[in-house]
Amino acid sequence: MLDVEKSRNGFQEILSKPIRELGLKLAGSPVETHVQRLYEELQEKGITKFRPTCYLTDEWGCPSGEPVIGIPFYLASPDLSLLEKEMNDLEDTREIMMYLRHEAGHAFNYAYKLYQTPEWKQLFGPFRRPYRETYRPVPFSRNFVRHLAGWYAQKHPDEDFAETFAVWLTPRSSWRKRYRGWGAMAKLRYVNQIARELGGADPMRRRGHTDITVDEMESTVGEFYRQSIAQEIPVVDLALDTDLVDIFNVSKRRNGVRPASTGKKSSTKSLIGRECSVH
Amino acid sequence: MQRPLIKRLIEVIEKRIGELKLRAETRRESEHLAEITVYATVLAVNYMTRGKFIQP
Repeated sequence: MLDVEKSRNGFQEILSKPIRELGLKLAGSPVETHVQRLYEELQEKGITKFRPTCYLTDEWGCPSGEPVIGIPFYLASPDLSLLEKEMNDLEDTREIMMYLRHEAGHAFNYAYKLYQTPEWKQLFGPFRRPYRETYRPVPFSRNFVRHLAGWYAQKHPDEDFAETFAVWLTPRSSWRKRYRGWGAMAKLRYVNQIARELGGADPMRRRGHTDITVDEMESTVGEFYRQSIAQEIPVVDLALDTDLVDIFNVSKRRNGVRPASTGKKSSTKSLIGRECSVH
Repeated sequence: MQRPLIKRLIEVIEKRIGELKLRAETRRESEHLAEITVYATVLAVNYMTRGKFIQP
């Protein structure tokens, strides 16, 4: 039996339903408040005419060239959020806003076709550079801002712009202070300048085409997660034993010794909580 | 990408610790935690920068 079925007692009814039949809507959902917050942040930064349309889909994203924002469908329902938390790792409010600001960066870029301008190309690179899922970031590079984990700005020029926009948009990010002396500062200044110039201007592309919407997702929730598991990073084959024995090199006969991995107070359980809350 | 990666990595590590019946000293908990954090971090960063889990 797949893990999806085995360990999800209480979710059986949801798992067997096609996603499009769940009746998910962005309006009135928990994530709608975050979208409103994004719009408020844009307003506060002087961007008054650009309000990217958001829609529910299979993952975070902005279809290439389209000024719209795709939001994972599980964020629209408390039950699905619980399932996501168990299956994967649910974004908290802070992370949802980080993703929204990032995607808003893509949408802003597409809405005003900035990627076609010489200045954009000079700062961020060629927009048409092939997009690769795997990339090799330089962890300590100061030519890129740091926003989403994994040095995501280094993935592609389009991501570099989206990350720079996100840092600029984040309230109290103190980007002028944090990035003083960094190569990334020129990009931040560009975003600041272009936002000032275009803040009150109608977007060249006001509307965009979505990719698959939640109403078109024919697979069941169970199939969706089964597919996600199939795409998971293969960590099961790691040869961990020698290193773990070195770390937990404790004699059973000593006082004050307990199993390292059982119970809620185990070292690694604690670690999961701490590790996942720090970036 | 990173949160699921780290969570999955920690789950695998924790499962293996249980299978190996490894034990922790309660008075050295912070030490164990620091070591396992460094270990998991190295694995994750190696994965992100080199595309594979190169063990330290």
